[in-house]
Amino acid sequence: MSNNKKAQIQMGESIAIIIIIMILIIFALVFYSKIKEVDISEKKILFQDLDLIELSQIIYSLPEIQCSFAEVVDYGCIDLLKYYELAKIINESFKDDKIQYFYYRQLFGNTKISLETIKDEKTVNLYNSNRTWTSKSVMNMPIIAYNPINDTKLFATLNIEKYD
Amino acid sequence: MFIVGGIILLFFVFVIRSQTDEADIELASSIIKNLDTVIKSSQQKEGNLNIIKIPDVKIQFVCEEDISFYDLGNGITKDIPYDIIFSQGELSGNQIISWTQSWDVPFRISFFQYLTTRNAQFIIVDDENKATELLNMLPNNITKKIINTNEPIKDYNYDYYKIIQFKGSEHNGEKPTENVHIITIDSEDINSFGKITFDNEGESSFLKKESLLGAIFSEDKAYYECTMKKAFERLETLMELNKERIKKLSANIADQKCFAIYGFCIEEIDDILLTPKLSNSQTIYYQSKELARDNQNLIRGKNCPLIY
Repeated sequence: MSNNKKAQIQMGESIAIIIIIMILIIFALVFYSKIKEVDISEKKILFQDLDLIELSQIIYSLPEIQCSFAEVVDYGCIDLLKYYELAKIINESFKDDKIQYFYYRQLFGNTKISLETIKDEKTVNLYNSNRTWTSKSVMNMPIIAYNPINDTKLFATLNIEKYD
Repeated sequence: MFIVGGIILLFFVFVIRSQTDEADIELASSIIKNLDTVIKSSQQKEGNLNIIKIPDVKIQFVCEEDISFYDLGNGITKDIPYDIIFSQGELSGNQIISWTQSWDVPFRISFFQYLTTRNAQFIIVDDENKATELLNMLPNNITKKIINTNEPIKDYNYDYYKIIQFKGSEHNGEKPTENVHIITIDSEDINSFGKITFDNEGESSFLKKESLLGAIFSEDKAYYECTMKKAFERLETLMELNKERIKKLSANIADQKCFAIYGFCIEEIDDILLTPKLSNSQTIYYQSKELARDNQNLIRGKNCPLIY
């Protein structure tokens, strides 16, 4: 009898130890997943910022809107005639479901891109994804807006709103 | 006790397996992110040459009608429906060489990106005319060489051999039996337009040297034509955009000399827009030369806004 009792006590001890170990492992896993969650959300913010910078560089170097003189590209300058024409093409291709719209949708994603000339405070949208979003990152890039008709240069900002 | 031990063991096996799967996905997404960043950043500057270090994985490039992507295996793919990337069907090794050139017809239409690896060898057959020019066009970081028409090509275990020959100076020496792709160029000037024959797949065309380089870096005729189709869609958009811009300039500039030149430009763009296809390379090339000449005329003291 006393041997049986001893064995039962030892068995109980073993089960208790296993339960404690299991609890410790579960705690460790919960702790690890919390750290991982924070890490992922930090990475998400970093990637969002990088995506925005990448997008701004893409727009900056779009041959559709870049200024050029004598076959030489002028970086940091947007040709207003080209810009208005591209805005028209994107808008019309959206209505007609043309391939151009899909191209720019893939390039710009869920964003709103507009150009604001400082002097006359005029804002013209280039692209607007018109999709729902929960958060947004914004970037305003100073650029030169060039009008080739009257050979004038205006100070402007290219505003990019990226939605997530 | 055994049951509890078994459960604990199973639990750890499950944790290890899920961590391994997660690591695979993380690795694949990091390769995609790296490749995507290089692709995007390369598309902003001409002549960019990047060497992308990746783990030793195989990346498959596919371009077919309405579908274009690269595949890292395990079902992990990245769509590239509009990116103009010329590549072998499969890239392997731990380095990818990425090279970018601007396709100007005559103004910039798009950047062409060429991908290859050190496991590919590009062999140009000497025609005592254009072969050296072509050799010098190719970047130095790739494995390239020039050989005579009867010189044998030894098999040094490259994954991919591309033999580039000119019509009339075809290679007739020994060559490896596997992984060999031959293209034959038929052109007076490799920076203008011409015909290209892919192995035994038939003939295609090229428009300017960047397009010829595209044929050299492409897996086959189908991949090349599929990628060039994307390029011609861009050409069409850019031509339409510039045509409307020129119309606006024409309507707002009083100078009659400018007005006449703008009129020529619109006619030339209209000609290009009649058939904006690879098969129409000759007409597009000559009309783009005319556009370039018109732009030069606008520069020469006429004080008119330029077309590009």
